[in-house]
Amino acid sequence: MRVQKMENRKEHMESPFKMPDGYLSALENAVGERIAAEDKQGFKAVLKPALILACTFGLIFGMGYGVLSLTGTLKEDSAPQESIAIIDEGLIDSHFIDFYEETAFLAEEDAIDENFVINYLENEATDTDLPEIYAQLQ
Amino acid sequence: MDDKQILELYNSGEKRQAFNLIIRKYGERLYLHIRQMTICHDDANDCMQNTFIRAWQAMDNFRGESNIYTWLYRIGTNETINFLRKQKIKNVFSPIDIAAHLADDPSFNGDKAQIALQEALSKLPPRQKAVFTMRYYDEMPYEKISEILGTSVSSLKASYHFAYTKMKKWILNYLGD
Repeated sequence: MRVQKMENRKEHMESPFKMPDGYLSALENAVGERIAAEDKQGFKAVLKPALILACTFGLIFGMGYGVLSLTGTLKEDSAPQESIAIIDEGLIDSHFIDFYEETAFLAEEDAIDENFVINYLENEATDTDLPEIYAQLQ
Repeated sequence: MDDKQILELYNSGEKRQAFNLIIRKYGERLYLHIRQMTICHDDANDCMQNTFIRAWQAMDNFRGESNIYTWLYRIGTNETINFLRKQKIKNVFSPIDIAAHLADDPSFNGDKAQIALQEALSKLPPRQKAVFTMRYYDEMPYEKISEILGTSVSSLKASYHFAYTKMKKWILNYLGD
C-alpha cells in the first residue's frame, strides 16, 4: 500500500505534458522569422527618429518661411540698401584710411626738430623768455 | 555538441546555426517547464518564442559563467512569470476552463487527479506557481531556485509551503465535490 502510494506520487510528479511532434522545427522557424524581422526593425528604429527629426526641422523652417512670406517681412526695405550703398562707395575704407593718416600726422608732430629749437632760441626768444624756459626745464 | 563547442561556433560567426543548436538541444526541457506553468500550449509557445528572442538579444553578452540551460531556464521562467501576470488580468474578463481545455489537448497525458492538480496550480499567483513547478516537477534545490528567481531561500520555502497548502485545500474540495 505504502509502495503503491509512493509510486503514484512519483507518477504525479512527472509532467503530464508532452511536446507536440515537430514543435522544435516550427519553433526554430518562428524564432528565425522574428529575429529577421527584429533585425529589419533595428535598422528602421535607428533611421526612423533621424528622419522624423529632419522632417520636423524642415516643417518648422517651411512654416516660418511661409509666415514671413505672407506677412511681407521678407520684402527688401530701404535701410539695408543704404547700408550697402555706403559700403559700396568705400566710405568705410576711406574712414579707415583717414584715421590712419591722422594718427601718422600726430606722431610726426610729436617729434620736434632740433634745428628748429636752436633757431628759435637764437633768433626769436627774448631775454625774458630764456629764464622762464630755464625754470621749466629745472 | 556540448555548450563550449556551441559557444565556440557562435563566436566564430555562425550565430544562427549555433542558436538553432541551442533550440534543438534544450527546447524540449524548456518547453515542458514552461508548459507546466502556462498549462495551455499556445501560451507556452508564446513564452518559448519570447524566451528565445530574449536569449538571442542577450547572447553576445553571455560569458558562459553558468551553463546555457541554466541561463535559458532563468530567462524562460521570468518571461513566463511576466506572461502569467498579464494573462491574469485578461482571465478576469474571460476565465479559461482548465479541465475542458486539458481534456481536448492531445499533448496532455494525465488522469483525473492530474487534471485536478493542474487546475489547482492554475489558481496560484504566477510566482508561487513558478516556485511550485520548479520544486515539485523539476525537483530543483531551493538554492538553485533562489539563484534563478533572485529570492532568498527562506522566502522560497514559505512560498512553496503556501502554494502546497492552497493546492491541497483546493484539490480536497475538488475531489470532495
